[in-house]
Amino acid sequence: MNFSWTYISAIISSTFRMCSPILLCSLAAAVCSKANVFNIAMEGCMMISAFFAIVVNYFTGGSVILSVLAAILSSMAVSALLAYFIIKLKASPVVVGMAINTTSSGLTTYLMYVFFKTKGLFQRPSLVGLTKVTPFFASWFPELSQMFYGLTYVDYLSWVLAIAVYIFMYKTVLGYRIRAIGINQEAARSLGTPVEKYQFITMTLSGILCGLAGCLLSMGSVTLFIQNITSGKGYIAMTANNLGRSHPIGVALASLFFGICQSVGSFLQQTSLKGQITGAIPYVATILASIVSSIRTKQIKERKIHEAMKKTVERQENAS
Amino acid sequence: MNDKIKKLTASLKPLLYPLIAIVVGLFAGGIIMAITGHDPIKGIFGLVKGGFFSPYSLASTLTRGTPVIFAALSAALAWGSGYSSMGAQGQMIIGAITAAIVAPLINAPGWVVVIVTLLAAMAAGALYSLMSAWVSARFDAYLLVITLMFNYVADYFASYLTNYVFLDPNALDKLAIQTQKIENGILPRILSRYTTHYGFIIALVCVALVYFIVNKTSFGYKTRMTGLNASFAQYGGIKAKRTMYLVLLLSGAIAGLGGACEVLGTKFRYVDKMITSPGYSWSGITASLMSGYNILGCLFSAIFLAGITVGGSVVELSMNIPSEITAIIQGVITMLATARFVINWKKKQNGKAGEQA
Repeated sequence: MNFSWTYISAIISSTFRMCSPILLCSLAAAVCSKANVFNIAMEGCMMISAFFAIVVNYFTGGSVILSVLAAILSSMAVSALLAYFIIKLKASPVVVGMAINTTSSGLTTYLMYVFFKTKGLFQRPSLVGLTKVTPFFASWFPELSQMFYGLTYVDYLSWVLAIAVYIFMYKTVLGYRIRAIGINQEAARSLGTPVEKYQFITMTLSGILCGLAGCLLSMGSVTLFIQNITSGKGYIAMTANNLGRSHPIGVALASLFFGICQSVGSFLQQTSLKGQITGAIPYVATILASIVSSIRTKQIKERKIHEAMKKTVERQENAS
Repeated sequence: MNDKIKKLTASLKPLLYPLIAIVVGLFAGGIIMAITGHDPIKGIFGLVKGGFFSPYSLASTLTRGTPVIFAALSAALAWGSGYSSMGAQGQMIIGAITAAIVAPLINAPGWVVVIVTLLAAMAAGALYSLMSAWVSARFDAYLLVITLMFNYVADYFASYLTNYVFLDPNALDKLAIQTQKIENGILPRILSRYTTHYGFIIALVCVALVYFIVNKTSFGYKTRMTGLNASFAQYGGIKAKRTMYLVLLLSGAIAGLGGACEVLGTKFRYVDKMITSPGYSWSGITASLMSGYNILGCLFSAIFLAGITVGGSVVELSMNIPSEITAIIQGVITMLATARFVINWKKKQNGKAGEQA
């Protein structure tokens, strides 16, 4: 194998491309878990939005803006439905979430046959993908431009959104209230926060993030729709959210890790390693990452307990 | 007399909710058919007719239903005890590939081969389930996500084994990714004309066993208590961790057995994606959810779901309605499965309010 600069920059650009859908979804998961709603339907939201992006793209003759809009709206609609079931009907979030994930897989295949008379793969030359952008500074060095090869503006937007979500959650009043729900729902309610309303809004807005992620899947590096296009990315995003402890910056780093795993996995396919082994890499990485994260959480907890005990001992000594 | 009627209605009550969910699910399917320009009444009738209304279709429904019953039992055990495991799929894959590897290795009379193979598959499924349970319990990770990840890993692992280690060298179709055909030690058909094999009988025995375990043993009582309220159960002296491992071990063993029956009964070999693509595990989980983890309810729900799936492929051929309509109906049924808890919950709330007043 030849580890040239081209090779490394290709891995970096593919890492960014693989990372952004996971990043967007895990941000959605983070926002929801901050508002004390367990959202596992990112997979379904992503699939529906990826599908409707392609449908609108095809029937409008390649209007990218309308496709992105369709993706966002469809994902928001699914999220709102989920929110209605979880918050208003008090249904089990796990069951409804899983139901949405599998229904969307069936529904997209069904509609794919209705619209395009095909199952499995839909690709047409008339479909237009998201515009690919290279940042202005990349043109100064040819090596850098390779690193940003094939990135669309939504890929960049995902990182901007990570910062935006951070500012929203930690620097605005609304974000503060949403976090208060997550810390103690009943306390927030007793202070007069309309908990259900905020949860509903948060979930519906998280649909925007999943919608953008869906766009990236079907109109990002390739412009097509295949059955089960999400292939578990929504669940990986859940782990990324867990790993990053629902903090936008932590979540971004965790998504970057999963992006690296996926891109390395797909690059190792070109080597003598078998596709079945490289394909399993992201999923094995997810399992390992949850293990590592839990060990770290435990260490932090133990350290905190240790420090607290030390402090009380000191205080007692001072008092005596 | 009045008591008898009350008893009867009480025993029929578990069937009521699934029936409502089924009716609404079919109705939703009909709406989608109507929107996409198909005749909904003909379509829905076709689904049910295609699955149940002739000996041949009933036999294929039972054949297809066999793995679904195993998956439903596995899910009902785990979910009913409060552990949302999605791992049935991975465990079935591991059971199936184990069966496909073990069966050709044994040189013995057919029935010995069958028993050894089934036991091996059960052990493999149980072990795989224990692995995911251990990771989830020891490292405090979502069981749901961990089991899903284990499913993907199992699929790739089995695919690797079939592709590179146990690929059938005598296959006529060189593109087919499958293991060697099992000649000795298959599960025979019950009636030679129909595809339903003895795996279905094994499934029925499993239903009876699990019903007995859940409803008549102290272990079953413990699992049900943990499912109702985990912290209360622990307070009452139930060892939560031990119960969890046992439940998930059992549920994995059942799933593994299901995978093995599918290999020994219908395909006689492991074919790549043979468990994943028909979606047995999801149908099983839907069946267990819509019956509220009631074991007998699982049996009927599983057969019903298998029936509309068989009907789905009939309808696809005859009316050009994509067979995924059954996946949509299943999804709607699942979403409504928890809406039932809504009714219960609201009742409880009203009751509480009444007490306070």
